[in-house]
Amino acid sequence: MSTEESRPGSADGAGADAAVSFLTLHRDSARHEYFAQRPWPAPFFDRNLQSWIVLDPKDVAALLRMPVLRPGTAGVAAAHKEIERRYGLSFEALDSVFPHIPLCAHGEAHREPRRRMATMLARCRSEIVEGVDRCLDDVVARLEPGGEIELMNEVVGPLVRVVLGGLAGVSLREEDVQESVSIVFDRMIGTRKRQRIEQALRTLAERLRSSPDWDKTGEEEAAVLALFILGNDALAGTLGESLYQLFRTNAGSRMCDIAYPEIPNETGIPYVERVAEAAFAHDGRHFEAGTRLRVYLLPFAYAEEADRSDVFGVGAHTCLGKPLTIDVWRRLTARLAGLPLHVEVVDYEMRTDDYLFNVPARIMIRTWQ
Amino acid sequence: MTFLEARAQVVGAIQHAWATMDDVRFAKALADPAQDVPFEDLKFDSLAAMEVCMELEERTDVEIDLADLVAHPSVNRLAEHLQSRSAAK
Repeated sequence: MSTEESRPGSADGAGADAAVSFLTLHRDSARHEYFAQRPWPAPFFDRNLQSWIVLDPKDVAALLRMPVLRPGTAGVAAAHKEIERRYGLSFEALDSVFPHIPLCAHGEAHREPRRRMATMLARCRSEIVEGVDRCLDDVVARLEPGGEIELMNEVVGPLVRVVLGGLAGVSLREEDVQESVSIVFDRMIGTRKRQRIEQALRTLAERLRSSPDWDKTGEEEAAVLALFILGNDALAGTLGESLYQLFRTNAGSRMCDIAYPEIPNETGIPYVERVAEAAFAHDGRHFEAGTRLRVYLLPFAYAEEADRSDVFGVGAHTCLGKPLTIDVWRRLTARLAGLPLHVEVVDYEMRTDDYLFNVPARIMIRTWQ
Repeated sequence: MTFLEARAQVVGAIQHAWATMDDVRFAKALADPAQDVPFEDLKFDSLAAMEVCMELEERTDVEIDLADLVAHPSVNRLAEHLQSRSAAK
């Protein structure tokens, strides 16, 4: 099918808006209204992104289950090698970590890193949950007096550090996880940002090694760093965005009166990219090999008819952190549901230099009795 | 950084990338701040776009992503973006 045949605003793209920029829609202030609209448009081609846009949860679920579609991130390691070769740069830390990231592989090559990572997560889960409970004692104590509090620093950040620290087997300090290393997955970041991520990973590795609790081998260290890359922004964004949306839509309510969903109501990963390894067909359409698709997960958070837990993805690359994220979310919201404090958001800002994850830079709330 | 300074940096970075592209059709428009030049007209390939980003980062010490070229898809719009990024540093 020609890419010109199906665009936003055309018959194929009915319901989509030609003026919408899909580069930034997922983080735009109008996103809540956009993704709540019906009917969902059929997949359509976006010229700016040179990518198909998939919004309907039915299409998303079907496409993510297709083995012929590999994650866009599967090319990240090779892309870094090419940048190293072409520009004489070194991404030594990243190069050692990529083989441990399941999303950087597909098909047979994907099975082993995914199995290893799933094992690591399962091994630590109960210990992490205990750590989360202890952390929440402290978080609730910070909330109880009332007043203004910034959620990303005071609530989300400590919880993310407990989870990542639990996976690493060390106690993390705030300064240990300053830099976003997760955005290395963004194929459209520049070389300077990649160098900054490389440096952040090296620094983090040094800090982990200097911890008295650190007992990992080189391979295990790379696997732990892979978990930081995969988990940091995804968890911070999911918790932060979900809290923001709940407090925004329940402004002035008491925290104990808010209906907290069992599954986070937002996601830090608004979309994933897929690339066709071979020609394929979906819903009567033919797609050539090499076709790129931007497949939105965000609609699952808004679609009552869909399974909200699919916001973590479906198919072979479903988020491995799903059970742990839900554990943290349920524990957090159970504590919030015990607070008779009124709440409203007084300030909110999304991270400005990120086109991939939805991670708030700041969520300032005010609470009162 | 003023808008004109930011624009000069953007134009300089494009001309740097063009040194390998060997195309001067847009030189006049690029030199005139009253004219905006869409990147679509320049027909950057991904390598040229990467070169523009790297050169801009080198010149201004501001991080510029390929996504910034998509989000701000003309010389003047990227200059405005560069100006605001620079001010935020």
